[in-house]
Amino acid sequence: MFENLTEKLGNVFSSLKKRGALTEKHVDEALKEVRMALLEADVSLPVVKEFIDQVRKRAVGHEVLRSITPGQQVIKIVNDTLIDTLGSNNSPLEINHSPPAIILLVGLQGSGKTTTAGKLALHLKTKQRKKVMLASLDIYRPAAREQLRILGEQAEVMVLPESDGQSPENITKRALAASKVQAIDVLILDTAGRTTLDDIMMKEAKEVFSISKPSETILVADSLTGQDAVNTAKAFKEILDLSGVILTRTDGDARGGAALSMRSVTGCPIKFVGTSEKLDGLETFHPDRAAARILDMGDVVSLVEKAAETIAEEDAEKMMERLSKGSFDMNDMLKQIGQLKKLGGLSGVMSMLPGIGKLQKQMAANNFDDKVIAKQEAIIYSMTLKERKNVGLLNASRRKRIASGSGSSVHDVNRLVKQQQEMARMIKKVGKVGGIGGLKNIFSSPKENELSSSIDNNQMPTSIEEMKKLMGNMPNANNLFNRFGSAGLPGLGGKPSKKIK
Amino acid sequence: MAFNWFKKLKNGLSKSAAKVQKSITAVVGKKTLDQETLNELEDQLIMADLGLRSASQIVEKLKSQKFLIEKDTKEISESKVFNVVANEISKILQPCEKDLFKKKIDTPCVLLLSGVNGSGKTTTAGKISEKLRKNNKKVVIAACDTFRAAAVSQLETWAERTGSIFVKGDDNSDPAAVAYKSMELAIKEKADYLIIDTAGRLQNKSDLMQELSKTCRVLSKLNKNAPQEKVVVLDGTVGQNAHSQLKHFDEAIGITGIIVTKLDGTAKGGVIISLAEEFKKPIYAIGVGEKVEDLDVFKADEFSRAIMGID
Repeated sequence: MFENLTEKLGNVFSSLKKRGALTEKHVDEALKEVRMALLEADVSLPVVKEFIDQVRKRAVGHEVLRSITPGQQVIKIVNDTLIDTLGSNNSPLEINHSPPAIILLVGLQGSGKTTTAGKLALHLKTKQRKKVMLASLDIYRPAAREQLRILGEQAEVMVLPESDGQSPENITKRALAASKVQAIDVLILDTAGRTTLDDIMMKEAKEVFSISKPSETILVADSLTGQDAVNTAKAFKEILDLSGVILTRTDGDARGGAALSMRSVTGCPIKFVGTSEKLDGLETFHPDRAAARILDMGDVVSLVEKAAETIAEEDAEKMMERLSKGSFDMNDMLKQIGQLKKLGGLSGVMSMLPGIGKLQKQMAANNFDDKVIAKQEAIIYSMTLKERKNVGLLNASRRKRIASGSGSSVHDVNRLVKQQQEMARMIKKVGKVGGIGGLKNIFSSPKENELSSSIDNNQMPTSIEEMKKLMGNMPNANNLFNRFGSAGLPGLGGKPSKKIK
Repeated sequence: MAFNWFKKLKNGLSKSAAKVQKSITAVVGKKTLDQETLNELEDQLIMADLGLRSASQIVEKLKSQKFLIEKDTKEISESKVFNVVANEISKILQPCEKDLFKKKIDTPCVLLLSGVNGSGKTTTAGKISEKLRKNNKKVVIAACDTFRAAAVSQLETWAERTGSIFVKGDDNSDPAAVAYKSMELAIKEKADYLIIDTAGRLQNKSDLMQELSKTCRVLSKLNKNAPQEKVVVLDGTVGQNAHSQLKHFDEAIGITGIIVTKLDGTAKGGVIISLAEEFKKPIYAIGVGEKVEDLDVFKADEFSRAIMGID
């Protein structure tokens, strides 16, 4: 849909050959693109304006480092400013004073308060060894209290027993008393969702706040939020002394500009982000990753971590061994497909890669999606073990059998075989030119390096033409570390560039 | 009826609409719509979540627009400018004006609600069943959110309130099986409508999206047209991600219409304007409050005028 910012700025500066300090004209030109990127990422307009001013001040007159282009220099400044604005890595919960410490969760309807309450409880219980109690003040939404009770049971923490007919204020008092009696360390109060225009409900929130005197008052906000993020944040900030923000649904494919809006308006740190529907899906906020996402440079770091989590190192090593011998049979292909699926399928991986817009379009045009992968898997499963090791066995009648066994056509089988052979040939070639040394590097050291294996995996099942196309269009995925690593861009965690070549 | 929801919508939009109006007034106090004024207008549209492209397209149309200068004040009347903008927006939205209940072909008519987490599917299911009950329709509600804690009881409460037949499965059971079971029952009971409430899912979770298309496939075994209505429920506060949501849900199950919720807050839901341009899907209804009756037919003209804060 959109080019990523790096490419856009590259175009802006392509005419500019002379290096030196960034002039006002260059910066203004570049900031137009930055503004667009931020708005497309749903950063609220007033926040965008403020941010752009900040960047302009920093950028004008800034020396362009010799090793990089002016476009990259601007991106670095934008990225640095963005990370600065988004705040520091670690803003732990302030709950270590005399118990019970109270955490009050507020937000709009459907922002994810109740789920977050459950996640927080589990987090505090397992990671900080706190005795936690949950209490629901949501007497309006049907089954909201039951939902919290079930979550509490799942997290194995105490939940304040429900009693009908009590006002949220009274439930708060009861929760406070109960947590003192039970020697609770942390009491989490889950409030009803409210629109900020509802004066009665906002007054209620204020009441609960003054009764409970929470140590943490946290605004739970949906990362899919658009321009309204500023209004919501402002309204809650006005009536409550907010101390932090938790952003939910960051596992979606939204660029999450709400993070920047919320942070600038409230001035409060983003304490956690929600990363899945499951109870353990709560993670510390990483400003660098959020920045990369907002600027559409992809969330490569998350991809790396996910890859590291899901791809067993042993598997990778075994694969490496086989590859270094230059052999690549259907079993290897199957394994690669399996790994790709573990990473959330092609679309899952794609959503984390930078500059995906164009790429996805192209892939759609080539009819290449997760279905293709499933089909290829089915075809390989329909082969005998011998056939998988030695595709040479595949004569016409075997191919026919495989096609009917996998619900595909002989044509599909032929295509897969051709792909596998082309891949094998390529791997041999890499071995010959001594690329294996590099390959070995990639596969042997853990974590980051599996990124490259996973990226390669993506492309494995495509035909060689498609692969070339994909590679051609994905300079950022492979070059990102090179480019930014050398520029010391903190957005990517300063991954040294040598690892990926 | 129409007057009622419009008032509500306006009430909901009033604070934000007032803001728009004020800032336009400030810039329109000049004789022509100069670039600065146009920029301000564009900013306001962006802040209503229209997105860059739609906002600049609308403003582009204003560029060539000639306005009469009022004789007494020697200024362009602000209300005329707002009217023109509202008309432009309305023109885009007009083709999307459709009544959810008009083109009922089959009995039971199966209505499937999908969307991301927390967009308001369950509440919307309750509101729709209330509407149908008022029209003396027999309704079956199926709780196919077998994942989220207490989602089933939340819907059950709604079913009780609206006197609908309620079907549920076990926790973590296959939602498609619950859907199938509910449709069998709806056929047996000769119900007019079957409302299927699905679990919220983010559109980039391919496995969950597949689960959703499976639910539709299974239903089509009982009637090849079912589910006749596949609605995506959008949160009114959503930003540009709505495009991705609609696109992926459409790809998975073929969306037949949109319902926008939570328009009683400060959010203006302007993203539906760019959605209308890109996807041309009907907008069936809007949610303007937490009460059971707070769901009404979408009217392009009134929505556009309410966004601009004019009567």
